[in-house]
Amino acid sequence: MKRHVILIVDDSANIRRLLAHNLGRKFTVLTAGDAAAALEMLDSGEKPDLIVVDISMPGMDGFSLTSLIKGNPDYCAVPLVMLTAKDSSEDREKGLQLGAVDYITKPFNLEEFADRIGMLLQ
Amino acid sequence: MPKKRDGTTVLIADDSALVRQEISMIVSHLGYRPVMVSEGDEAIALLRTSSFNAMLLDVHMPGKSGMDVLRYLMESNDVMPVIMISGSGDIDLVVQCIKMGAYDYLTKPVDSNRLAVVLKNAFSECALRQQVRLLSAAVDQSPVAVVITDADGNVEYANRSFSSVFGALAPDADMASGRCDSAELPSNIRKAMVAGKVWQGDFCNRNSVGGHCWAHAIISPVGNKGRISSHVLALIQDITDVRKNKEALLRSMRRFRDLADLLPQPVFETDRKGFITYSNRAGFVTFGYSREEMKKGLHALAFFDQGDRARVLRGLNAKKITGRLGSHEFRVFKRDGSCFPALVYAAPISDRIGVSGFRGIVVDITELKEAEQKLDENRKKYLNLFRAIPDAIIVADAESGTLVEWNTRAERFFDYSPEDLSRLHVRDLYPEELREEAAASFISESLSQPRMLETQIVTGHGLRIDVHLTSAMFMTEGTLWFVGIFRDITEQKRSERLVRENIRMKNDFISTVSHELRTPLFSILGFTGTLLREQDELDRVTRMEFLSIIHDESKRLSSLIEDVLMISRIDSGRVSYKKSEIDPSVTISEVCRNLKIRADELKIELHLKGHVPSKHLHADPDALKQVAINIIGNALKFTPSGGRVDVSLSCDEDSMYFSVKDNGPGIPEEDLEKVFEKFYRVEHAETAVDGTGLGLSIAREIIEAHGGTVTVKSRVSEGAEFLVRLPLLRQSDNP
Repeated sequence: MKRHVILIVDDSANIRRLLAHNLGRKFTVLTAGDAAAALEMLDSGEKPDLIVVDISMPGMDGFSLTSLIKGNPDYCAVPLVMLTAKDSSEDREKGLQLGAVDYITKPFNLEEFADRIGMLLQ
Repeated sequence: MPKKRDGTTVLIADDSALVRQEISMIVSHLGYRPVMVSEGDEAIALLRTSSFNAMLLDVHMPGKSGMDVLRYLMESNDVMPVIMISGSGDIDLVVQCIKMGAYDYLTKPVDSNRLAVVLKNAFSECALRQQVRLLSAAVDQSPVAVVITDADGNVEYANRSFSSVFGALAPDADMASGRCDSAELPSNIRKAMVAGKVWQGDFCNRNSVGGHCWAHAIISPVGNKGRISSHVLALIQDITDVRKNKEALLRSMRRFRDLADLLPQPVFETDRKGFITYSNRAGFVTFGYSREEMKKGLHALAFFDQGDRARVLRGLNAKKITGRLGSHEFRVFKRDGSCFPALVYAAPISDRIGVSGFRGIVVDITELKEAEQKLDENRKKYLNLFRAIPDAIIVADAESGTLVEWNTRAERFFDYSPEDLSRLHVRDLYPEELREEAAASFISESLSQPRMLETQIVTGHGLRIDVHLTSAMFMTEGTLWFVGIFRDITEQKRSERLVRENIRMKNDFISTVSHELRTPLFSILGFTGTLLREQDELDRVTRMEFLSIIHDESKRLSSLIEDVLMISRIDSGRVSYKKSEIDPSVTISEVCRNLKIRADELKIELHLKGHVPSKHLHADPDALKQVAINIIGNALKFTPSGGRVDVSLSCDEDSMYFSVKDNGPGIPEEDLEKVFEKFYRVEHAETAVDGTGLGLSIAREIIEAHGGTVTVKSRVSEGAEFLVRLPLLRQSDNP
């Protein structure tokens, strides 16, 4: 069985390392430190099965990245999960409207997160 | 015989021309003027138009005879004496004529002497007769009742007026018998009349309708035989009306005097010279003079102040001319020298010959004056109060909306001159877009409920001011007024905005802090969870890696918490610095040494230039260290890999300067001041920066608490330079 590929976009190296380690047991994990790096990876031919995007990032934030991805016919079908430290219903609404399938607030249980991603991929 | 010619005319009527001539000559000779006629008809015609003193009339004449002429004369009541002329044989006719009223007769031929005597007698008798006739007519027709009684009181004569007088007094009285309806009155008259003395007096009796009648009687005895009085004459005049008028006049006078005495105000009269001739009771009581003093001579001017007397006289003179009533306010003086304010109303008293004096009334206005003064004081008090109120107050006519009153504050507040304000409508005080609404709410004001609202006004110079307006309606003298109290709430609004801003900033701060805390916390939780879960599977290197991440994140969390606590202490003013004498170059080079490791990791060159030889600061060493860490750390954070940060120290007499210069992306000009705000970060597309966002804010607070300043200079893509100035410890401050 082919392992699913997950792309994680987060400005914090520690978070990237944490998620990569925990999801790495079930999935193949790609990481990007900012929106630009993520877009570069997608353009260079990476075809992730799911993308996890942190909302607050320096430079282009998660919302802008989401709308870019959802606006591109090549990747718009890829499910996208938003990750944030901000617990505001407005942001949640905004993320879901932009096309995210889920919206997860930090801190969260890593095992549950991995299960949730597994379910989303089925 | 006298030959003088007087105006006496004698008419001669005779058919014989010879006799006429003859008699005419005698008459002329006697000094009378003869007029001749030849016929009876001619005589009657002449007598109709002319009068003569005597007539010589021939008994026999053709046509109308002498007898006919005589009859005509008697019938027409002529008193002229008629002397008949006849022949010797006509004695019967002559007797008949004498009976008819002829005075005498002469026989032809007429003897001149006899004619002279007859004419003379005729003239004197005629005069006497005329006198008697006149007297009796006078008595008979007199409006005064004349009555003559004998010595016993029996009426012998009463004229026409007598019956009318007594008829009125006693219609049933039988005057001739002296019996009158009233028993007393006739007996009084009779008593007076039979007393035989001259008596004069009034008497009264009841009249037919039960009222009283008055008569004035003059009684005097008259005697026609020597000195013995045989009769009594009474002249009686009805004086009922006179008496009635007099009584009415007396009653009216008494009434007015009584009324005047009842008046509480002094009422007076003066003669033409100004001496008081009358005062009512109140006049004596008020001014303290006695009636005797008034009678001795009390001049009206004595009641007035010396200075007022000219004015009094002017006023009175003016009244003398116009005769109009006027009033003037004066101070009037009492006998004891005290005085009181009064209105003196006076008018001239006029009689047939002009102004005979003045009368007037004095109205004490002491209480009125006091009330007026009190009212005036009150008015002033409230006016001052109104003016002193620090809010702008305007009063407008509720019907027209025109401003009618305002306090001084309103003039300054609305920035209009009083003339301009008086021309304004209430709505003119509002900005253009609020005018409609203001006018509508102005109309809907109710009397009972004051209204409060926040709105905006516009001044005469177009400045808009936020106001709190309390408005109400009130009514005086039937007019509805609108009152508006405007309070400037610009300051209040500003502080409200500040409070709101503060709350918002606090909320932002909390939200940012919680976000900043969550990220390291999530890392720590995540890695510790992983370590616990996979402790058997993880190799040593990975375990160490995870542990060092946990350590770093814990340190970051700890410094975040420290910064937040610091800011919170600074904000609430609870921070205290332990100041001592320190060498800044020692502190800063220590910080630089420590940060060099991080700079090397980030591949940034960090250089420290210059030093401050044994210059001393009076500062908290930990706080100064924090300033250096925060500012240099900030520069390192924003400088990209491969860049450089230069730290330099310098000083002058008073201050030391600590400059941190980087060649990072720089700060846009509009954000320069904001860099010191909490959690502010300049947005850069390329650079990812972590940290609390509180460093510079904390640094500035510490610098300012040490009497220093921090400034920033930067241009986009040319880096930024932070310059800190701190005052040096002066030589004199050295212990």
